[in-house]
Amino acid sequence: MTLRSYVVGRVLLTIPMIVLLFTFVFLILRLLPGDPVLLHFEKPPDPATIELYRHQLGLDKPLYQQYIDYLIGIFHGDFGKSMTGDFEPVSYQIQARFPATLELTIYSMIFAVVVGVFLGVRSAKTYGSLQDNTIRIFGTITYAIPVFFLGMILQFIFAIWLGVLPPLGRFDIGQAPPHVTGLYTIDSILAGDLYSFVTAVRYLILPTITLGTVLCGIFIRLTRTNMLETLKLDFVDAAKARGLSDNAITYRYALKNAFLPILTMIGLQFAALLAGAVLTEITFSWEGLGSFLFEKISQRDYTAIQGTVVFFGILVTMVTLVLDLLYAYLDPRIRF
Amino acid sequence: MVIVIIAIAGVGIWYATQMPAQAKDTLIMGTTDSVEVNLDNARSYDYFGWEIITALSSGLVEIKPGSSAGPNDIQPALAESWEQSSDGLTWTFTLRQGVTFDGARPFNASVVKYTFDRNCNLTGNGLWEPDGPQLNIGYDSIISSVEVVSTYVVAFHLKMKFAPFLQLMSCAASYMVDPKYAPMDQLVNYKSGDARASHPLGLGPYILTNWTRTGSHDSEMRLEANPYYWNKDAGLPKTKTIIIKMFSDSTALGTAISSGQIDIAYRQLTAAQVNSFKNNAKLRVWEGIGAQIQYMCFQQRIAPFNNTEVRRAIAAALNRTHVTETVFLNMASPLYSIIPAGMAYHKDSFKIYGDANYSYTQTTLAKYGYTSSHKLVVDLWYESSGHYPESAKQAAVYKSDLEASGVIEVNLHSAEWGTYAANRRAGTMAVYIYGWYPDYIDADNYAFLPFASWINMGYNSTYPAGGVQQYNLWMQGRSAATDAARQDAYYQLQDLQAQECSVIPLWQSQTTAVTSTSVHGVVLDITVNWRHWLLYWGAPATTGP
Repeated sequence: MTLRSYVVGRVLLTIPMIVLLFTFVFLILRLLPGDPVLLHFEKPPDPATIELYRHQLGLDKPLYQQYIDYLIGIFHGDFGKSMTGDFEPVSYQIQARFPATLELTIYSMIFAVVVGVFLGVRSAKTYGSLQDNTIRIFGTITYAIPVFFLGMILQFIFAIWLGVLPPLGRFDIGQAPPHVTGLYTIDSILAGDLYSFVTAVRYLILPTITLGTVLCGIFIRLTRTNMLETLKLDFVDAAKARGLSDNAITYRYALKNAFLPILTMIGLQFAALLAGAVLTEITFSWEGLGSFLFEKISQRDYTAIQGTVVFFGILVTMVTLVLDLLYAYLDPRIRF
Repeated sequence: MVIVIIAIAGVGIWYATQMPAQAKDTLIMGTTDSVEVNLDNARSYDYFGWEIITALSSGLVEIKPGSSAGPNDIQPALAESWEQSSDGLTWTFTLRQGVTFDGARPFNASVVKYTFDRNCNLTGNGLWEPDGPQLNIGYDSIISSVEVVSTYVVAFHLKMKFAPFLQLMSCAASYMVDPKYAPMDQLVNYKSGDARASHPLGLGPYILTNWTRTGSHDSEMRLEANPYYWNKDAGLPKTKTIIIKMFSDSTALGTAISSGQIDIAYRQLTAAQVNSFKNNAKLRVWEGIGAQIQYMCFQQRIAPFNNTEVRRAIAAALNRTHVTETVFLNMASPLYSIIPAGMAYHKDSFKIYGDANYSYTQTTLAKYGYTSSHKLVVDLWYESSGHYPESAKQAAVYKSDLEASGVIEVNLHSAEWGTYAANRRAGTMAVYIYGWYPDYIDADNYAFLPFASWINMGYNSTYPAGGVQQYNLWMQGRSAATDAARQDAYYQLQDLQAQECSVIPLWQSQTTAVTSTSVHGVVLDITVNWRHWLLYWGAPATTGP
């Protein structure tokens, strides 16, 4: 199989996956008990009013028609209208909240990979030592620790006890930087405002460490295992015989060889990252898509829940696809 | 990890020293509230929406801060004076002169007429929003027409004598709109990036300069002092800028106030949080009476709850203090009337049964064959999705108290709000807990609850005889010509409600706010109005309520 046919096959495989996801989410939400229309009213509305609301929300149509409308809407980038409040388009809501989640996930993933890989390498290099065992225990604990619990501990230490970092939010209240991308670190750089940049970073530190720490455990274990295997290979001995420095062998050659499974894991962990982001965002009042989903679940806003879950699904599918293609490019064996 | 922690601490300390001191003309308030639908007082029907409306607009009259909202507690606002006609069917208001929206466009009688014509016509009239305060309070059953008598005199012609009319005029639904931003035929909804175009209001102590909202949930609001406020000479508002930050839950709100990220935390901290903050020297806990009540309802189409004596026996077995102490940690008070304590005309009529009066319960139920070996079975329902506070814990306490009588067995059932409301409409719940939050601050807005048709208990203004009697006394109270006559009607009504026990009052909320010790001007009274314009920053005060 050529790289081209692999790419085509992999992309085609993505389509039924996404359609299955759409269908599953659509059906599950409609099977849940409770009438979203009646939630609008404190006192019982008359039947005509209920029908009016049903019509406005498209709930008076047969299920198959709702499903077709829903699919057509998605392919036009329209996730429907929110069922609560002022009936905003869900796509607008996703657009407004996604940059915060993106910023948090990017920095958390960087933190998780950098810390996880570094500690994994250290652990492999000091195999059987106290340092190795300490890192392994650390990796196990961080893998198991609930994200909200770690977040609350860090909040207590750094925000309430020491008072050196802000406990909640993305920026000083009432002073958000001018909106360009919605990623405050980028926006403050674009505005050339160092103070805003430092502020944005300060607010990012605790949630990033929280989410990144929980995710880094898996990278520690994976890196350690792969490095232990790689360090036993002949080319490492050959490099040593040629007098290359220990760091050059470890980071320039051995780690490069051990990195492919880590790349795959980044893709797999992306879904876990988004799941973790929901809890992290709630813990830190981080106004992203995760906390948005939480709000909408509590409000039983079916359209918004559906739109957000589908958006997350598409995102995870796309990231996985890109990483698979990257993997295939880096390692030709994967195509056959 | 240690290096990371040290680095974080270093950056934090450096940064903390660089942070500009917070200006004293800005207060930051945190809340878990959010505007439910919009800030159009033709539609807004939630606590927080009304809180903001009262900051952005003004009414003809106001209730004196700290009062019991009685007939002598009304003070002038946009109206300087008023009088009621001898037949009680016309209220005439003389308006304050020289008031403007923006330094140019004047406030006058036409604005008052425009406001009421618009708001009453916009809702419940076949338009998209068949909801809203005017519809639910029934303005159209009270007000016949609004007449511009002269530039600064406006008359309200009523369809019926309505004694609490001034209280109705003081509620947010009766506050003025600015005709420039309030189309006669359209509600005003949130518009992203344009705070001014997101509401129809004007003439209040503040103007809204920023409102960030996504997914029908607010993130932040910014209130700036209105330079044209009619009461500016009185030094109001006391703080130039108030920023309101919305938090997702009480945990986040508590973290924000304890870390100093916000100056004020108002709605909703848990009782445990509030109690813990009482020991924090940097914070001040403000406590006041609340207007939210809860009560137990009986579906009288389900026997034996159609029996008045059975209902009385249940009333006697309840122990209100138990629930307020254990569930609400004393952040709520036992309630012995459907009209809350602290409000004019309140009377503790249900005290005739006492609390945990098991001998009364046993004796009364024995008449109907209920004994320790053949217990009265009560299927008690409660709401489970957070519509009411601590519902599950409350229900557990009620169960324990009723069963302590030895002759009652309680089966607990729960449903989330949508199902709970549907069950209520279908009349399938035998005994259930319900709550009420007032529209306008007056006994009139509570006294009808034991026979409200929409609660659908099978007990209303037409059936049974006790319901009819209650309805007549209620009408007598709302149409009374004098304060003494009103009081007499409401006292009789409360006594009758205690006899009938169609609903049993359980508890009344308390209102709490937690602030920095440097924040002053918090007033928590029976109106439960949060008066932003009275808040100010000053010398630290002693911690404590």
